[in-house]
Parts: sequence; C-alpha cells; structure tokens
Amino acid sequence: MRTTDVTVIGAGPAGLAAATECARAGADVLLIDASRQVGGQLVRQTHKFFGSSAHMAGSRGIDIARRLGKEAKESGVQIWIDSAVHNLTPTGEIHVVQDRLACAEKPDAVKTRQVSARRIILATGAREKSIAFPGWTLPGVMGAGAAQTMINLHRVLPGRRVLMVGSGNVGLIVTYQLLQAGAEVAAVVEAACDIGGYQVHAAKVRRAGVPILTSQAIHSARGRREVVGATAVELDGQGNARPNTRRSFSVDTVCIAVGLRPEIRLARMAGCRLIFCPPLGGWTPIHTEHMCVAPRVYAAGDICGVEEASTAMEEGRLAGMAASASLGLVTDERLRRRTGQIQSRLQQLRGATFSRRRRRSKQRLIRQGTEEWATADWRIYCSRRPKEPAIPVQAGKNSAQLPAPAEEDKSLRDDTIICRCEEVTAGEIRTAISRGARTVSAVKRRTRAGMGLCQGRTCEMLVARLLSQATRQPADVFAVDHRRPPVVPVTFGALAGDSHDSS
Amino acid sequence: MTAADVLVIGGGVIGASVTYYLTRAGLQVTLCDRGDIASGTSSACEGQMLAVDKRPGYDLDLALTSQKLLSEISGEFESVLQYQQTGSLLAVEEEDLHAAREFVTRRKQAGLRVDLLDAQTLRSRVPALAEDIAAGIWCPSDATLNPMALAYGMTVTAQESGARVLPYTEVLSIKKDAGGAAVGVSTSDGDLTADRVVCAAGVWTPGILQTVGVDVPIRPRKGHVLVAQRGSSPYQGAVQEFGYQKTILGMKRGRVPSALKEYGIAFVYEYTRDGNFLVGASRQFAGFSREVDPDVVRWLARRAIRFVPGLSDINVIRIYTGFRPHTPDHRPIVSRVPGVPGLFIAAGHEGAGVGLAAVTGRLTADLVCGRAPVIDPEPLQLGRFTEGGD
Ligand SMILES: Cc1cc2nc3c(=O)[nH]c(=O)nc-3n(C[C@H](O)[C@H](O)[C@H](O)COP(=O)(O)OP(=O)(O)OC[C@H]3O[C@@H](n4cnc5c(N)ncnc54)[C@H](O)[C@@H]3O)c2cc1C
Ligand SMILES: Cc1cc2nc3c(=O)[nH]c(=O)nc-3n(C[C@H](O)[C@H](O)[C@H](O)COP(=O)(O)OP(=O)(O)OC[C@H]3O[C@@H](n4cnc5c(N)ncnc54)[C@H](O)[C@@H]3O)c2cc1C
Repeated sequence: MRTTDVTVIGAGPAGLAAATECARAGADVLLIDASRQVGGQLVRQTHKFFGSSAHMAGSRGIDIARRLGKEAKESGVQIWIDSAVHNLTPTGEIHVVQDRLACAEKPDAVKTRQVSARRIILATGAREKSIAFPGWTLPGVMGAGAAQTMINLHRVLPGRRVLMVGSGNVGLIVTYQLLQAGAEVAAVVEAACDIGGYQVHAAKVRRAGVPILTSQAIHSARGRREVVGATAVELDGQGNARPNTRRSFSVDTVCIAVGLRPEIRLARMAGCRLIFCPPLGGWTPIHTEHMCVAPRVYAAGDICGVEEASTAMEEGRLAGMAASASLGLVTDERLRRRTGQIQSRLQQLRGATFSRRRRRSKQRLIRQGTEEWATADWRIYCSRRPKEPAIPVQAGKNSAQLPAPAEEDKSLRDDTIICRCEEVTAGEIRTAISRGARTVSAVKRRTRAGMGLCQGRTCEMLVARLLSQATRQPADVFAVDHRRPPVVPVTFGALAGDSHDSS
Repeated sequence: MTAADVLVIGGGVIGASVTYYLTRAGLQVTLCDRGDIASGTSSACEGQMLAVDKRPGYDLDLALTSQKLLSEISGEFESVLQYQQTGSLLAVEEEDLHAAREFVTRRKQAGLRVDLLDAQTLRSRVPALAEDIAAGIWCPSDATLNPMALAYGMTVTAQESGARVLPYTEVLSIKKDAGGAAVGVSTSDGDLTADRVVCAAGVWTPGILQTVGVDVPIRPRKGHVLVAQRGSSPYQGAVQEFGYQKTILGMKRGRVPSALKEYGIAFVYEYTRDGNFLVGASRQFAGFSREVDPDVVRWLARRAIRFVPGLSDINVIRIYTGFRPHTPDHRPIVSRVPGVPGLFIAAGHEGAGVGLAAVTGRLTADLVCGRAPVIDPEPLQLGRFTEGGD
C-alpha cells in the first residue's frame, strides 16, 4: 500500500491548487484523477475566462489546466491519471482502480491500488443534473458536458441543429461553442423567467442570432430511432404548462444544461455532514473556513457548492494550507496570514460575480461547519452512519423558504422513462409511491429505478422530483447519493486484488 | 386507535407472508413496519428457494412444503415474482467428492430428485465453471425468486382483501393487559390494539420481545453480496460451492485460506430475471454494522474467480450487506410466546427466510387460528432454547 501525507482526489483546478499548496509546504502528495488528463472541467473550456489576473483570467480554460498541472508537477506532486477512487474505507484507506479507460478493451489489465493518507482532500467537482421528458432517452439527447467533450476534445459535431435546454453559463457557453464548431442552434429554452447565466454570455448568443426563450420548458423530443424534432411549451408561474403554447423545433440534437450538482459520493463515504443549498447546486458538505469536512478530511471546489474555477483554486489553496498546517508543516502564524489573504480574495470573487443567494448560502455552510466543528465531536468519519432521517429533516427546514426550481413541465406523462438503465417509467414510480415508498431507495427497491449500471446517477434526481410532487416537499430533500462502494464499476478481478497476497 | 384481529410487526418476506395467510383465513390484519415494506433483510439478500441444502428429515420437509405452497399461490400476485425454476447446482471440489456422494445418497433416500453430475457432464452444462471442479450436485426442483417482489406481492394482495398496511410505523413496545396477555403495540404513530400480535421483525425481533421480558436468541449474521453488471452473466441459474454446506453448519472446511474461514466465505451465484447476477456470500457475526468490508469483498471476489474464472473481467456495480436472523440451531422460530397469551413469533430464518416464507406464513396462520398445522410446529417452538424446554 502506498502511504502519503496528503492524497488529493480530483485534479480539477481545486485539486491541482490544493496539491501544489501541500507539496510546497513539504508534504508528500499524491493527486488522483479518474480521467486521462488533469484539469477537470477546464480541459473542455476553450473560451477565455473572466476574473482577475490573479486567477489567470483572459486565459482559456484548457491553458489554465496546463499551467496548474505543470505547477503541481514542478512542486513535487505525484499524479495518477486514469485512476478512479471507488471506495474510501472507515479506516481512511483509499481504493483506486487504475487504467479503466486505457484498458477498456482488455479489462483483465485493470489494476487496483490502495493508498493510505494522513490527510485526504476531496476535490471531485460537480456533475450534471438531468431532466426527464418524453423522448429524453433517444439518441441525440445529451448533456451539455458530453456535447462539449465532442466538439472541444474529439472535434466531432454532435448534430447539425441543436435545441439547448437551460440558459445558465454552461448552456450559454456550450451554445456559443456549438456555433463556433459549425452547428446551428435553433434556440435556448429556459424554464425560469430570467436567463440564468451572465449577461455577456447571453448577449454573445443573441448576437449570433439564437433566441433565448424564457418561461419555456422542453416538452418532448420526437423520433423513432433518433431525435428528429423537439417541442417546447410555455410555463406559468407555478411551473405548469400553459395550454396551446407548444412550439416545435426541427432539430437532430437536444442538449441538456439544467445545472450541476456537487459530486458528493466520496464525501458521503467519508462521513461528511451535508446541507441542502439550491443556490450551490444541492447537497453540499458543510465545512469550516479551512475547508475541513471531517476529521483529517478536507474538500474544495465545486464539491463544496458549484461556483467557478477561480473560487475552486482559492478553496483548494485553503484546504491545502490547512491540511499542511495540521501535519505541522506550516506554522499557525503563516496559516492565519495566508488564510486571511485567501479569504479576502474569495470574498472579492464572490462579491463581484455571485448572486446574494449564492454568497449567503456559502456563508451559512461555513458558519454551520465551524459551529459543529467547535461543539460536536466529529466521529462521523469513523462511524460513517449519520442517522438517515437527520439529513432530510434538516434539509427540509433549510430549503423550505426556497422554491424548487421550475425546470420542466410538471405534467410528466406516465409512460415517460425515468430510469433508463432499467427502463422504469414515471407511472411505475408513481405506483410505488402510492403504495408507500417514501425515499429514493424505497422506490428503487420497488421498481429497480437506480439499480442499473449508472447506479442512479442519472435518475436519482428525477425519482426525487416525483417523490416531491407526490409529497409536496422540495425535490432535492429526497436525493442523497448512496454511500456504498463501488463509486465506479470495478471488475471482480480488480476487486480480488494482487495475487501475491492471496495465501 | 383501531382494533384489529391480528397485528403483525415487520414487513419483510416473513411478515408479508404471515399477513397474506392470516388475511386469507378471514382475519382483519394490520401490518406495520418501521420503514417501507421489505426494507430490512428481505431487500439485502438473495432469492434462492432451495431444498437441496436442507437436512433430510424435518428441515427438508419444511422446505419442500414451502416450495409447494408457493407454487400454489404464486399466480395470485399482481407483481411478477420473477419465480423461475432453474434448478440448483452445487459445485464440488475434488477433496469433497466423498462427502458429496454421501450427501446425494441421503437426499435420494429422502425422496428428493438429485443427481451427481460427473466433471464432463457438469462442464457441458455449465462451461463457465473452472476446469478442476470435480463434480456437480444437480437438483432440478429448486427455484429462485425476487424476495422484494414476494413481499410486495403478498402485502398488496392482502391489502386488496382488507388488510391494513402501515409503513413508516415503528413499534416501540408490545402492550399487555392486566392478565399478561398481548393486546396491541405502541408505535411511533400512537397505539394500535389487536387481539393477537405476531412479531416477524427478523433480526430486530429480540429488541421488541424484550419489551415484554422475553429473550429470543436471534443474532445478526452479516453477509456481503456483489452485484454484477447486467447482460454479462456466464450462467443463467444458481450455483453454490458444495463447501457452503459446511460454512452454514459451522463444520470444518478443508484446505482453504484462513480468511475464507474467518469471514465464512463460500461461493454463491444467482442469476436474476432482471439480467444481473449476484455473487455471495460471507457469514460473520459483526453486530449491526452494514459497513462493506473491503477485505471481505476481496476474498469474495477471489473465491468467485476460483469457481468461475471468467468473472475476472466482469464488472461489479454494487455491493450490499444484509443480516441473516441466526438462531443457535439454524432453525426458525414459529411459535406462541410462552407466558404471553396472544403473542406469537415468526422469525429467525437465517439464510433461508425467502424460501421458507410461504410455509412460515401458513404455519403462523394455523397457530393463530387454532387450525390443524400444515407441518408439525414442535421443532420450531421458542421453548426449545430455554433450559428444560423441548
Ligand atoms: C461549460 C463550462 C464553462 C465554464 N466557464 C467558466 C469560466 O469562464 N470561468 C470560471 O471561473 N469557471 C468556469 N466554469 C466552472 C469551472 O470549470 C468549475 O467551477 C471548476 O472546474 C471546478 O473545479 P473543481 O476542481 O472543483 O472540479 P472539476 O473541474 O469538476 O474537477 C473534478 C475532478 O475530479 C475527478 N473525480 C471525480 N470523482 C472522482 C473519483 N471518484 N476518483 C477520481 N477522480 C474523480 C474528475 O475526473 C475531475 O477531473 C465553467 C464550467 C463549465 C462546465
Ligand atoms: C446475504 C444474504 C443472502 C441471503 N440469501 C438467501 C437466499 O438465497 N434464500 C433464502 O431463502 N434466504 C436468503 N437469505 C435470508 C433471508 O433474506 C432472510 O431469512 C429473510 O429475508 C428474513 O425475512 P424477515 O421478514 O424475517 O426479516 P426482514 O426482511 O428483516 O423483515 C423484518 C422487518 O421488520 C421491520 N422492523 C424492525 N424493527 C421494527 C419495529 N420496531 N417496528 C416495526 N417494524 C420493525 C424491519 O424494518 C423489517 O422490514 C439471505 C440473507 C442474506 C443476508
């Protein structure tokens, strides 16, 4: 087993910055990422970033990734790519499956490795939310991230004519990049009454002649074998479809950009306490101002609330600084000084670019984390079983004031597929709920929704939304990722481990 | 505060079956579970309905009675039970050949249809098995089903005939009247009265019975199960290593690595109608922690590859653990509770509760109604564990 001072999981801007910080303080650092190159979301970003020059604004995401990667290597960080963490054990062992991507064709070459770390920094970023509508499982419907990977990494067009669903920054930027790559975008539809992303991005999209239609939701995608068209519908203030407002688009691709949510599965395994913050993307681990989320565990970046690369880097530095200090590698004095500097930069970033709601949520998260850290003993990392009900109840309280985002037509048809791995429909899920299922896992047991290859990553939120409609509670209250390993599929061979230690 | 004839505690396969048979007997039944139906062991197990692994004599009769009852009623359930009579296969290693022959002979004498397949026949039937597996024990009458579907099916059918089902209602204690008879329960949602109470709370039974001062020797025996990716099944049936019989009964196993003994690991393979397959299992006394132990997983995977080498390249997508309700003599408790009139217990089925659900429900209903029992209830009495009890 490889032993380290600090192991950082996730090599996006947060993880890279954290690893560099620790290595510079003199720690033995291992940085692990599931993909084949470092940079996280940045590797797909071909546009120039905003912000201050301190955060490399003006550079393209992909170039920022390169620079951060180089810095990490030069400061002595060891980097494992194509290495997915599939388990975090209660004793702090990190289980890694290596070369899954490289050996996709010969699974017997996949290896597992174990790492023990005195400190763990979680920087697993965020993942895309999904929505269901008739036809969403047709080839041609895809997440904005997938579309971006196709155009910016693989240089292939996902389609000729696209309908973009969602006008947040991701939706707007990907729209623009699709145009640059030579596709046509019929329109951007947005269920809310306002555009979600920055005005600059919106203006760019409009200038290119793409209409942004607010208070409109995707109603359905049409096609037998693949998408040949899509329909949108106008929503009233309650998120219900207005009659006779359907509008159809002739498109071969529907791109979904309805937001990101923190990737918290490893955080759950590490016993982190979660709080539900819609402005930050949903369930988020509470943390101290030093980004501590559990004893010996830190987190940084989008996992702690979906923000931006600039804030992710700063949070990474904070986490790295604090982890190093807790190992005695940084003096208290220096920790205080650096933390102060970083915090004020973070405040500036958040002040400048974020809505009040987002900033307040972040403050609340930190306040709660700091209080709990001071009062409660955080044995959770060992016990790992926060009482099941505690989370939803607390969440209900927190999210009660915040309206659930209206992202889709509420009148989802019973024959719409919700879990595409297991082909479970909305009707089947509604029946399960009417029979007494009150949690995502109860629905799963009754219907198999979420039991397939993706292990509920896609449908969990959709099931939660149906539960929410039936019980009149906010949707995300129901959607907490399960804690069970493996986080990614692992072969029997890899689980069996090295043959040399089989007696 | 509604009165029922019978109140059933626990909506696992056992409580569901008890509810079903009592309702069928014309009684007004209320079933409560602290979670949803099938949220305990019955959703953290496998679904084999085996006779081959039962000791000839009473245990085998019990299993066969259950299989028969289930095949009679399975058509009634609205939900598809995914009941499939695929037969069961025990894979025998060289060193166990002798024991396997004796095993087969004894079962044949008891009237069970079993065959000992030689290595060649075995391989032609299950090409995925490792080449050095010496023989197979084949029992065509064994079956598998989906335990959750069984529990849901039985409760829905009972509900349609008037049973009341109360999920998310936790029983806090059993209530007695002045004469010491059970008259209902108090729950997280208020009191419920009933003429009789059946506790079918699996591994949680002892805590509930403790509230009326009754000791029940049921302990959680933890098991790990690996779920494989759909569409990759090397064999569409059920296979166990013959050595499993020894693990269950705590017998000495031959030359296997000590970790296998420590974790009680033996290879168990079950193909499900959903197209996945399950690989188990371990048997440990480890309290009520549901934690997945990576070392147990490692040895489970190794053992699986030893029997089916091709598994090596197949993905595991999920790992879960469950608690078998273990009793000291590996037999369930289906019994009146001595000293508390009106109180019954139906629990402690260890690794066979799915297969024995039907007979348990039926027998409990027989006891509650005072009818002629479908099978002799004597060997399943609670009193057998107390000194002087039989
Ligand atoms: C289209 C788009 C445009 C954007 N534009 C801007 C912009 O202009 N300016 C700006 O500041 N920000 C922008 N962002 C946001 C920015 O990219 C993210 O906020 C930032 O990348 C978050 O960094 P992170 O390190 O927290 O996570 P990520 O960058 O998401 O990195 C997480 C990493 O963790 C890895 N990981 C996850 N789970 C595991 C596991 N189990 N094992 C191993 N590795 C794992 C992933 O492979 C990934 O590499 C944009 C985002 C998008 C999608
Ligand atoms: C890994 C594994 C593999 C197995 N494989 C097989 C197999 O192949 N074939 C087979 O036949 N058997 C198998 N079994 C055994 C089988 O699963 C069990 O014997 C059976 O599920 C027990 O059912 P039950 O109804 O007694 O318990 P449970 O299903 O646990 O039901 C008890 C119920 O009581 C409820 N409860 C608990 N406390 C309270 C309370 N205070 N108030 C209200 N409700 C309460 C619980 O929520 C639970 O739903 C396996 C078990 C395991 C662990």
